[in-house]
Amino acid sequence: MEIKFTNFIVNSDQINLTFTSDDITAVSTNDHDLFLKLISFSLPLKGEIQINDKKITPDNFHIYKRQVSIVKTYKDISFTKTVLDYMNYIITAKNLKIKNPNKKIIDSLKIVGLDEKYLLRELNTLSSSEKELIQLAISLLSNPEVIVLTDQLLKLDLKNQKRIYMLLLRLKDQYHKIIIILSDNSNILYKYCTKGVIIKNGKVLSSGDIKDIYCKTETLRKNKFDIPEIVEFTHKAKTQKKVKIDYHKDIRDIIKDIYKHV
Amino acid sequence: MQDNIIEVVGLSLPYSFQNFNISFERNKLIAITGPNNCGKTTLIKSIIGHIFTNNTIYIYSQELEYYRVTELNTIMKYIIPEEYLFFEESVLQELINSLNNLELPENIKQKKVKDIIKNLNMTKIQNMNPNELSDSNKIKLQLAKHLLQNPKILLLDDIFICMTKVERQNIIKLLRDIQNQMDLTIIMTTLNLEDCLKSDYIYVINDNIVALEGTPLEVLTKDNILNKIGLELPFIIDLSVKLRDYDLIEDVEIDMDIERMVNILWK
Repeated sequence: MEIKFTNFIVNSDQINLTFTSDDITAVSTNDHDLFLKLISFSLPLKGEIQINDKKITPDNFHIYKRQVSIVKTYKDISFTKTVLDYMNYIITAKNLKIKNPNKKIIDSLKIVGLDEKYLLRELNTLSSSEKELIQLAISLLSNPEVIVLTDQLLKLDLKNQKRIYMLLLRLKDQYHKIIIILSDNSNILYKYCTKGVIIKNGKVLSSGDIKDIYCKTETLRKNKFDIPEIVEFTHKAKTQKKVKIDYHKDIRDIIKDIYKHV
Repeated sequence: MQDNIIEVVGLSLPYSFQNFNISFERNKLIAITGPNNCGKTTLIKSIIGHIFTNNTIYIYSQELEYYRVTELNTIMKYIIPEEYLFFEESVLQELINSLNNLELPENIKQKKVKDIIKNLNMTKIQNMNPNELSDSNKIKLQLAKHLLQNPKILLLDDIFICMTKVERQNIIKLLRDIQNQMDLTIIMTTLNLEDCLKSDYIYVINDNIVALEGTPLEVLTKDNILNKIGLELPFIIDLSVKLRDYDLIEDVEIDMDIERMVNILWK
């Protein structure tokens, strides 16, 4: 699966970007809404968008729009009482065409690690992490081709983060879904993504391998983007002390490098 | 105990605690942390009386049920994200009107509001509609309203989650300063151990008990237990603990930063 934006105009700048199901892609931007509009094909069609080599046109874009699911942070809806009510409400409100909604709801909950008992749980008895997992389950109901996580991982502890990461890998590798994580938290993005894009005011500052984009610490700092601490430490050691250590994702690898060079 | 401002004795609730005990010392900045579903929010909601706790919570050694709602509201303020309402058309007016109950002279009101806007770095948003603010600015506004009321206890439930690192650090520093200046007990819950670094005392809740407690240094150096529970150490503390274990540094310091660590390792 691949989405390709070619010479696409955003805020008078041209964007060239490709998202594929080969990677989990990090997106860091000062304007989350603008990116969400871009990826859900809600910006005016100025330029070219291709999905698996098929061109998006004003006539067919609504078909592709449905294939993008943005996992939004849970917001309280006072008139729904239980998880089942809430998920049924979303199916109706979003006009999702699902053959067997009850089965699909149970399956989606199971995928994110919540069992059938949750269906009758009242929403106000759920913890904040459980609410985020419900949001992720909802995003899977429509069997989307593109899944955009916002700040869900931030609300999860290490065990749940790893579980969701494994799920994202499965969705990407087995079902060829495009997975995008949109967040301001560079530590999370650096840890879980393989590719990345940094966008400021609609302009792509850098894109590519996650290590390569976060190594450009001066550009990131100048444009007020967060730098992962593990990268910042390595960068300081390399530039200020001329130590030959590599950029790593795992702290244990950094320790090995320090041990060799201290 | 006299120094305890809040005591929870034998709290049992559906879906979470069974005979749970915890107490909070007066005039301290206290962090409560723990993995997802450990009951952090439930505990806060129990203390503020949103959940019926059957005489298991004591404020100033009096049962929670002893207090009138208005009395409790004077002593204790809380922020639970999204559980607040704003009524005025600007942040400034919202803050001024929040002081109406205190019967202060107008010039004092203005000064208090001006100071809090400056301290919380809200100058740019003071003329904006409160309901159109970002989540982090809504929390800042709610915090400002509460601080203007000089409560004795401030309970903050995971308020930093929607903030950037810089915003979080600034707010925590401000809370630390305010707490040092006045008789105020701040109890905050968080999943992020980095938010706990400036606190006086940390409680780690897991599996219905207080699994760890102590000063930040005492708690955060127990990396094996924290990782097992599912909590991630702040990078520089994690690095320090591991370097200490390899005898590459002598001690773990809570206020260590990356620059200093690089200089210690490669003099």
